[in-house]
Amino acid sequence: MIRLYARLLRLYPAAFRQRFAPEMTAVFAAALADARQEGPLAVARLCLGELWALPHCIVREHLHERGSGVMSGQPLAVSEKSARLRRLARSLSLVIAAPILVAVFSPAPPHWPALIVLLLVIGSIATAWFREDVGGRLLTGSGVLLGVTVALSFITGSGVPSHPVPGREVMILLTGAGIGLLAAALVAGTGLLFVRVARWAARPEAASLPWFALNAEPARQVPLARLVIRLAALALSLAMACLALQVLLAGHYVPDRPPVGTLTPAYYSLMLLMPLAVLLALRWERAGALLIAAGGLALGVLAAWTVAVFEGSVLLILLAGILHAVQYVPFGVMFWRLARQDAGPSALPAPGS
Amino acid sequence: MSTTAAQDSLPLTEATFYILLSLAPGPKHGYAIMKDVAALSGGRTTLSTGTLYGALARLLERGWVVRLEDDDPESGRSKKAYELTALGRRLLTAETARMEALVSTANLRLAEESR
Repeated sequence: MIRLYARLLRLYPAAFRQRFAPEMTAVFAAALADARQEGPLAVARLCLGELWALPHCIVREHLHERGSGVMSGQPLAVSEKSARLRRLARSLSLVIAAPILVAVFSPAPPHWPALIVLLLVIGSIATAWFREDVGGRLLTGSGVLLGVTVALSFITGSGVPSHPVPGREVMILLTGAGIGLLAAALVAGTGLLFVRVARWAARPEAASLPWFALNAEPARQVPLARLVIRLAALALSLAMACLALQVLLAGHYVPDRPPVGTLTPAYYSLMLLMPLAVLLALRWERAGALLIAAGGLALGVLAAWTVAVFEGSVLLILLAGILHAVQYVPFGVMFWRLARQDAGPSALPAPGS
Repeated sequence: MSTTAAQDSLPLTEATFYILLSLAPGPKHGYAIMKDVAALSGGRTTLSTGTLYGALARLLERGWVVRLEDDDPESGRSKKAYELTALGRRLLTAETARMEALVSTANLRLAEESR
């Protein structure tokens, strides 16, 4: 029972927990020992009293921490970088939550398996706003689940066509996999951001490290960061390649309208080649970084040009260009920085420096 | 803290009042505060650990109590005790005076009505 109580204390904010958790556990243990001498009724009264007060106390402490950010004698050293990352994670979570809430409360809500997963994502987002480490992990897991659900829903939901189309099953499979990967990457990635913010809040010295450093121990930083960046880059590029392949196989562009007839196949073909650039970066990081960044910029230019051909507004042209470039250019930058880490002996600052 | 600022902190919540009252005679550990509060209130007020330490956290922030390291001779481990500061004692006195004034006013009025 004391172990359960100690686990429940993890719901409190980190600073409060660090300061009072040992005392609270000791006091609960003493109270429990006294209650046991009085009988099972006293034990039940004690436990129910603790459980009854727990939600209110946890919410109060979290709100107090958000409001003041300071506990007497132990200020939370949330750096500007950490605050920016928190704002980014929360903004992304709102972007994810909005369409999910629309889908859940629409007149035709999804079927119950998908509905449960969507509610899990919403619950994880709500938890992450108050407990970033727990909520972030939940969001990461539910993001993976969402990706699988979305992919399966798309694949199984595509009905029998009235006219047989060659290779249709492959196209559906590729599209489903691509959409599922994108959904998983977005939601799980947001979850990982929340976990990062929580770690920085708990260990202020970690905020001085590069943002993608996963661990304050220098010996483990770069390998872990490299693994995560590689997986994320592969997942994204494969997802986009699946979508591009589906479009190219189906011939959904308009070949007889120049210059769109040249632009869009070039655009989708380049998207198809991006996984190769990522694979190259696994072995030669600098060269791969340059290729990925260049490919991202080229995709941005092609997308912007295509929109311009269709007489889109300046805003749409810019948006198309930027949205496509930001999918890949940051990965180019990350691989370049990883290569630079290995180049110098003191590339990463030691914790606390 | 000035008199005006102290009065701005009143009235105290019941839990805060009882915690300060419990510490008035001298420093106490957390569990001793819990038991003393239950005894002082005649069992009406039972503090959970979350309520107690949440209140203690606020009291520490405001400087109404201080935290002391106290070595337990039986276990040899260091335990945390809490002690009222001069400011905390002033606020406790002010709150007691405020409640005395309220009770005195109420008694006068009730005595008038019973005549």
